[in-house]
Amino acid sequence: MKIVLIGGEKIAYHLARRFLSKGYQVMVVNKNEKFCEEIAKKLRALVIRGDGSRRYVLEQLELDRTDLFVALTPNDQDNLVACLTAARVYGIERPVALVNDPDNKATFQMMGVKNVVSPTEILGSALEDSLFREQITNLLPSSEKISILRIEMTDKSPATGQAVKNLPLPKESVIGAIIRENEVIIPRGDNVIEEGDILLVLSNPKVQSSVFEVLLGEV
Amino acid sequence: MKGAIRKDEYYVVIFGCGRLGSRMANWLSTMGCSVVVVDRSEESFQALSFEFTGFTVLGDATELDTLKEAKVDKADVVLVLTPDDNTNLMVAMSAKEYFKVARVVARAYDPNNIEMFSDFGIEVICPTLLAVENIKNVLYFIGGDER
Repeated sequence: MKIVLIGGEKIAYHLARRFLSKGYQVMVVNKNEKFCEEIAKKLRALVIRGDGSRRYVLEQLELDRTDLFVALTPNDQDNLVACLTAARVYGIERPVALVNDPDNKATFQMMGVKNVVSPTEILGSALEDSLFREQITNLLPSSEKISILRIEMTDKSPATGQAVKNLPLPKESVIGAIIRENEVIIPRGDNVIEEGDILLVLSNPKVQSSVFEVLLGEV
Repeated sequence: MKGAIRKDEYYVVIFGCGRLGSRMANWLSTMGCSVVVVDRSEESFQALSFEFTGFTVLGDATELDTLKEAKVDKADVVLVLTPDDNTNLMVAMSAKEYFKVARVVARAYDPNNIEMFSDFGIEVICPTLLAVENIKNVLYFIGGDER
């Protein structure tokens, strides 16, 4: 099995380095002549200059069904066509595509490219997690349909001192439990939120940011 | 006509407002269709004539949001005419598979790409093959076909 990396400069270089050091055979395909020269000097990878979404370029790779085929260009359309060609013409079983616009993920999967990685999405959620880590923890970070959030209330939170029923929370969210010292309260409308409370909030990820705004103020 | 749709007014979305896209937009407008033209460069819309009565959408066709903005889901026909085969493939496939558009016509310069388009139910116009056929006809005297 060899590893074929289409496009993508820095990522391709570092991935190639990583897989070479693990003993795999690596092929790098890139349009950029200068980049190809550099890679060829630095790494033991086989370098091919050309557009990896073109059939005559892919032909030179002598692809085998079990090869790991990864499309990393900054253009979603090129990644899609490269993966589709690899799958349909050369029988690659599980081509992997990078998508830049996370919305395109669904399209790729409908076309039969099931292994899709969106760096935008990964970076986005990593950033959100690290930004809000102190006060907020997403207890179910992998779900796109529901967020279960653990939120700590401080004296600065606008919700502190307010009754649950008076909080202008979005419809698709609910405070499921309040942890106060060692007790768990399942809140009704009359319960007042106190400093030091830990709230467990269920919400649709789409309205998550307004939940934060209501409970914590501007974040 | 294959898969013909009959109604009073067709809603047509055209991707790419170059020489071909703009001409199609102008013509479809005069035929009474409601037309939306999408291009990522604002200048390209200058190619639309006074006959054009539709709307323009400025945006990158490879972003799904642009397709939503152009209301591809409501389209009877989508014409994908940007100069890049890969872009055309992706947009045409999104229109067909994601938005379930009845008729999607796309341009592919590379004849190798035709099969992939048609496997997904997309109708393909290949300027290269059209030109080859035309030139063959002009050169009918070579090759010995009876004319």
